[in-house]
Amino acid sequence: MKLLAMAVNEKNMNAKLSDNLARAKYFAFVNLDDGDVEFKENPAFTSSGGAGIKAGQFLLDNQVEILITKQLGQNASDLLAGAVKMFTGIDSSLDENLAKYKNGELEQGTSTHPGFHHG
Amino acid sequence: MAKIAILSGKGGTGKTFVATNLARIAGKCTYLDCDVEEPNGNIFLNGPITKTCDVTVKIPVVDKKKCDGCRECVSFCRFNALAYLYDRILVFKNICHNCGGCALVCPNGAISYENIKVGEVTIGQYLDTMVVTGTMKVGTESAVSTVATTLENAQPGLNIIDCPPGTACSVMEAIEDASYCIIVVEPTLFSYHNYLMVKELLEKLKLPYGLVVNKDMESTVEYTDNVIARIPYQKEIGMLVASGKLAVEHSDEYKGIFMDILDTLRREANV
Repeated sequence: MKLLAMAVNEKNMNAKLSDNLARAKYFAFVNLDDGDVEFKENPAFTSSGGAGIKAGQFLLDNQVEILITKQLGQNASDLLAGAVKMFTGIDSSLDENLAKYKNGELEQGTSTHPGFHHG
Repeated sequence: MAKIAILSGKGGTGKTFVATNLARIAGKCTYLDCDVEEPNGNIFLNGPITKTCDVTVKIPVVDKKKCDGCRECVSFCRFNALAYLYDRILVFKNICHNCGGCALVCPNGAISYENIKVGEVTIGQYLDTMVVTGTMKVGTESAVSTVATTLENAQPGLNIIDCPPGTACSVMEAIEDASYCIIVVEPTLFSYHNYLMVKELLEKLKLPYGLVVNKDMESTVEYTDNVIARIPYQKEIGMLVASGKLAVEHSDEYKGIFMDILDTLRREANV
């Protein structure tokens, strides 16, 4: 089973790809073998700190192989680099992101941000 | 021991200006620069440094041979500083709050600690004032340990704590044991907005406080409650600060203002 993940704030494929990975409400897990989609709550959504690591751990624990995300915090990137193939998502729905990925139109790799914690 | 914390919501309102001039006018006292991201009180209280020590924190190290991947440490850490990748534990040093809990919960005794340097504290002397300066190591995320180590150097008598700006963890660490707080404000909307945040914090912590209005002038923003001093907006003061001089050493007017602040502190905080 080849699993692809995308962060999202509503449980449907028409919803927009979340701007933020660690603080998104849900992850959509797409089974690329049979097209099945499952939404799971992101356990890091309410985390007080280190949300990127917790979200990254959740993706690893779910055996995600591919991640489409707009950007990524430095910590999540450090954790996932080497373990998960990452693609830069576009500002559009999950469906469109998935279609673009399948057509090989998404850029490989992602940009990182230094995080949103202040103090 | 009295601890007077000088803080502000907005940066650049004049915390260091108030703290250093107050230290100079107070005579024998200890000045603790806890604005560890950019400590600059020693520009004004500039004397020889007699002692330097490192600030270190304990970071977990996992013995891969003893770790059986149970993940007790990962679930325990409320800051998510540990992650489990395939067959090993990853430690995110910048996120770790050095609580030591991961080693306690590890059933296999696989976790020990290494010390890593996160800052430095120097001790110097300027006339009657002992000058303690905390400096965070560039690249470190949390200022709290360096603030705490700086404060360990508080002495009997009067201590003047120059706090970081804002209301974050490092500020709370700096004011925790304060006997009285001075909020430095300026008559701008930005400063007023951040003053309200500081006020809320101090009221939550039940700490007594007074306001010093710096760069005071006619403005649509007016401070009326708990004002203990007003320092007028004057070119002369800007010139003095820009050349690294203490206002109280060069002007009787400013000397008078700071003497009055000291009198207030004697009344309010038994200094």
